[in-house]
Amino acid sequence: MPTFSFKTAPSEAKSIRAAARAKGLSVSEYLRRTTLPRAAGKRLARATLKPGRVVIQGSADAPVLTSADVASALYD
Amino acid sequence: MRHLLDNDVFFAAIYGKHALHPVAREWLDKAKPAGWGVAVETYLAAVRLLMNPAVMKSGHLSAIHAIEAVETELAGRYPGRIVMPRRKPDQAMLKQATGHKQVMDFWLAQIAQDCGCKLATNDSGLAAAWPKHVDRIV
Repeated sequence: MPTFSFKTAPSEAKSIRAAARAKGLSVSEYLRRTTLPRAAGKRLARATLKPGRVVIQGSADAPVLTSADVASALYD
Repeated sequence: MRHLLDNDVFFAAIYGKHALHPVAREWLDKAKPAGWGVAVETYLAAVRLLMNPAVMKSGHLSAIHAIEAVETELAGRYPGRIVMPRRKPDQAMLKQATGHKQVMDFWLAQIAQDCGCKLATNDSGLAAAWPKHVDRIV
C-alpha cells in the first residue's frame, strides 16, 4: 500500500489532528474521507429498495460471490 | 415464526451478485408469510458484508446505507424479527463443530431451536448435523 508523507506547519498539524480526533478517526482515515468522500462508502445506486424486498445489484467490478466467499469474508 | 435465516441465505437474498441470489430471493419471498427473522448476528453480518470493499468492491456501502438496506428488507407486509439469543451458547452443541466456520452456524441453529423455528441454510453439512433444527433451501 502506498504511503503519503507531506510537510505542514505545526499549527496545521494540530488542527488536522484535532479535527480527526473530533470525528473519532485516525489522521489517515480523516484525510482519506475529506479528500475522497466516496471512500467512506457509496449510496445504494443500483438497488431495488422496496419494504420487504431489497435487491442490491452490485457494482460492475464486483465478482459473483459464492457461499464460501461469504464465509471467508465473515470468518477468516 | 417458522424460519431463522443464516448469514449466507439472508445476504444472498438481498445481494444480486451472490451466486445463490435467485434461489434465496425466491425462497425468502415465499417463506415470509409464515414468519421469519434473523439473529442479531446475521443482521450485523449483512451490514459488515455490504460495507466491505473486499466483498462489494467499488459498490461498498456506508454504514447508513447498509443499515437502510437491511432494515428495508426486514420491513414490509411480512416483517422480519431481529432475534436476540435467550441463553448462552450450548457447549454440547458447539463442541460438535469440526471447524471454525461451523461455530457461528451451530450457534444460529441453537438460536433457531430456542425460538421453536428452523434455521434456513444452504449448508449441506449443517443440515446433516442438525436435521431437526435446519431446513436447506436448495
